[in-house]
Amino acid sequence: MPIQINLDAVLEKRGMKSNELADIIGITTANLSILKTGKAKAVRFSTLEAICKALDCQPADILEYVPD
Amino acid sequence: MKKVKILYTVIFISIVLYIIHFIMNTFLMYYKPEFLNFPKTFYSQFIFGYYTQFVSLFFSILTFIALFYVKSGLGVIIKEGFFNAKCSKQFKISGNIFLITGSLSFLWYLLLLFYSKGKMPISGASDVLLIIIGLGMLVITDIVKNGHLIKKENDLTI
Repeated sequence: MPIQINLDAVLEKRGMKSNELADIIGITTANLSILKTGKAKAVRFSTLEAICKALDCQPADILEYVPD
Repeated sequence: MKKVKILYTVIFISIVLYIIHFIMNTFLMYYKPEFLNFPKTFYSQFIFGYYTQFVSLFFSILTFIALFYVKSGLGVIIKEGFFNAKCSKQFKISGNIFLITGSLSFLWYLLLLFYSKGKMPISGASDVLLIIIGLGMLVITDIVKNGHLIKKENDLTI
């Protein structure tokens, strides 16, 4: 898929672990893993908002368009 | 889900009745010589003579197999929920069998009607009903398949 998820890089910058983020935004680590590995079919605005709030970043920091 | 369970029970009872019916018929044919023992002149009126009765038996067996697939599909729904790939496969097979059985049975009825030169009573309604059930099962298969796809996408929406 041409939409790439850069969540790992942002998490590393903030020094935060995946399970901590999952706890803060209120989703399971399994679902966060689906998001990180790019297996997710869609992302809710509410989830994106919670991630941006927790990591103090912009949606563009997490999502990136990379043409095939 | 309650209605699915009721349908499952009804189909299960039908299958049991079918089995009892087959066993009883087999028993009567082999152990009671007087059962359906008509004179040869009687059978000569039919297209395949004595063997004409076995054509309907063949259609009954096909219907039994289709019922078995419907039962399996409903069982999967009860266990795993409405939309899953397994039950859509079972429903597709049963729908195709119902459709083929209904069509063949209707053709058989037309053949008998033609052979008897219109002396047969009009009784093709059950065959048409079987065709409708078959088509209905195929429509349900499509609905379940699409539902499964939507469910999968919904599950992967974070």
